[in-house]
Amino acid sequence: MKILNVYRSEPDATTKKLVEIVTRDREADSFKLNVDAPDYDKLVDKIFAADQTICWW
Amino acid sequence: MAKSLGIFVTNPDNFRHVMGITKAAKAKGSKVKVFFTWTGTHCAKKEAEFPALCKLADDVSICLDSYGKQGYDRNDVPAGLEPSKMATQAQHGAIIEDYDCYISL
Repeated sequence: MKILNVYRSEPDATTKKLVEIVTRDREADSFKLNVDAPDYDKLVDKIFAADQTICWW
Repeated sequence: MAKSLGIFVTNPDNFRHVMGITKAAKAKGSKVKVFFTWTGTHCAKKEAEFPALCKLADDVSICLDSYGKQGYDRNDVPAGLEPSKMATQAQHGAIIEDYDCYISL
């Protein structure tokens, strides 16, 4: 199971803890949407490579 | 064959990401369906590029009930959208059931 964590804002302590919990013993990747010009091509590649994508607010 | 992608939109501030992801996915040959619900339905009336999204994506629909609850006339179909695409949450279910990948924005 590979999980992609997409961040809509800078993760706070709670988000970091939740990410740690849901990705425990799993392969994980991440992508930051909270930048001026996200590389959407790269994001789509990551979505397609993952088994599950989680967007964090 | 590229995977298909469903995009579930609940937030009106994410439209640029919806467009960016849809363009990137279509460039890879992916089938893309976008469903707008709750405050995300504002995008249908307030985003100038909404009609362009409807042309670009394979399927765009919005939750009619949410659209009405956000204050819009349920008979005022947004530019670019077919009246039949003013739909129910079943469209969300269709994304989950029928598409390879899913992202919520």
